[in-house]
Amino acid sequence: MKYIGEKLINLLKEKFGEAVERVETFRGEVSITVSKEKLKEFMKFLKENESFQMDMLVDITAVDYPEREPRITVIYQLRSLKLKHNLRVKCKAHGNSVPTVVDIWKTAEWTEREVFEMFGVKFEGRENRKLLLPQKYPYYPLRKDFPLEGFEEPCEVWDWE
Amino acid sequence: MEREKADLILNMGPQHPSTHGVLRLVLELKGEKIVNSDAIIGYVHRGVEKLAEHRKYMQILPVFDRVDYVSANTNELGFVLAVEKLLGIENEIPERAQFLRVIMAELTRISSHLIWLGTHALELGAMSVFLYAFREREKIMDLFEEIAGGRLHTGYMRIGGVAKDTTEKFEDELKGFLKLFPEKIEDYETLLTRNRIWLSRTKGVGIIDKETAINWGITGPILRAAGSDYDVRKYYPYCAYDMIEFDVPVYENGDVYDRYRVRMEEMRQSVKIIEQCLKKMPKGPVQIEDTTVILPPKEEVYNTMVGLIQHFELVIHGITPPPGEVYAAVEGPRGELGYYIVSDGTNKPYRLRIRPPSLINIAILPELLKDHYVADVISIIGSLDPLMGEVDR
Repeated sequence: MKYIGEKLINLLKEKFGEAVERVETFRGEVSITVSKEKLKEFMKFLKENESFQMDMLVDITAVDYPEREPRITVIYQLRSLKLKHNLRVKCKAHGNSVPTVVDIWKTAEWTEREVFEMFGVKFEGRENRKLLLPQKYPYYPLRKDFPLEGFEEPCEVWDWE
Repeated sequence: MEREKADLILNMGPQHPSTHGVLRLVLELKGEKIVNSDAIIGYVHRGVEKLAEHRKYMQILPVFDRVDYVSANTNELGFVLAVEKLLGIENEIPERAQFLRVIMAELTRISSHLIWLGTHALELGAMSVFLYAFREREKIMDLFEEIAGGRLHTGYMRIGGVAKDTTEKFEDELKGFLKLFPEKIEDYETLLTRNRIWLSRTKGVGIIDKETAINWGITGPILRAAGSDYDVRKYYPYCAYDMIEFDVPVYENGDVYDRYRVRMEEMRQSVKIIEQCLKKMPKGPVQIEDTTVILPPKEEVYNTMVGLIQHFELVIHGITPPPGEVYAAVEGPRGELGYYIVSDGTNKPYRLRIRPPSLINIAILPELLKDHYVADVISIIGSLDPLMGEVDR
């Protein structure tokens, strides 16, 4: 899979300066960590700029690192269908929340809801409703401190909406 | 946003024959028209991603067979490719194995599309297509059984190759199938393509245009019916797809009928791909030799000390990729099936995310159903071809 090249990475570094916290390359895949404050602007730029044209948000997910502060990193996998290049954007969820990107890409509509229910990350600027789990379920199952076999299940979680 | 007032709220599902599993829709109706709707999912959520974090890489494979349970091979293939990328051995896989993977993936595509065709037509009232489609699917299941042992959950892919080489019987039967199948597609088409009832149920229904589809992250046949030629096999070729010639069918209207035509054409292309694979497939090994990745052959395990030690080493310690993260995708029957793996250098993935095409494809449902009639709901869901096992994981 083709990822964005050195030239475009430098362009982003110039444009956003301090907001680009880290650039990683592993097996030819580029991940850029962006500060939470600039995330929205960064994403809009990626979508609208001529040399990026990231028209497709492939997926949103998150990774939980209990020993880090903040513990959850939200991950966006982006693609340009025209230019055929990819990019992974990461954003550390300070205060357990990140701005929503649902107004930029509609893919976020359900994937953000899934990240919210699984990791407890709130998305600012949209309704945070659970997707797969019952609305009253009190835990965040994909966090590392949630045991594989789960907790004793309280039956009241079933709200039947 | 002001919600339009409804006369009646209709609960459809979760147990409904035409929702392809357990999908619940809450439809707000005004007369026969839908003014608002909501999709409620999660009835078969099994926590596959959590489960994967607690298993060694080799042990995860059979779990992913059961995520999208009608196309097990493509599920496995995506995962296997991701792990190989993580290990950095994707260029060392023997060519024969790459071709075998393509054959299995394309057979899976045909069988998955046959299920879709059968059930979709059944829901819209064409009973006989269902029976015909399942008759041919049975032949594919027999082929799977011959080469892999399993029918639905084949467990054929391995990290570092495939489980077994072909047998003579398999190749003969496969050739027979390829000869017979194009005629069968013609048969299905005579039943549906110009059928007046079929046309009136599908043409101009559930239109998704290209921009909307891309914005919603929709991939696979739905996107191609809307006019984009995005196909992982062409854009980012994996396995042996770059050595094979095939066309990607693209239609413009983005309605239910075009999605039907895309899938029918895809089946023909799959036949073409498999035929080329059989011709171009070189002889040789089907697994890499590195025993830190793949189990040594059984004769060595039983007869030599080294083989036995290698076998135990791998079973006990598992595969240990370096720390890092990768995303690998394959073109599944439903769209782009991606695997994002974060490794921390141990023998279990730190985080494993499946990018489920079904989930992302049906997220548009509440918006799409607006202003459609209740009867069209059935044909729209059918044409999106969601698989609830994959939606909920």
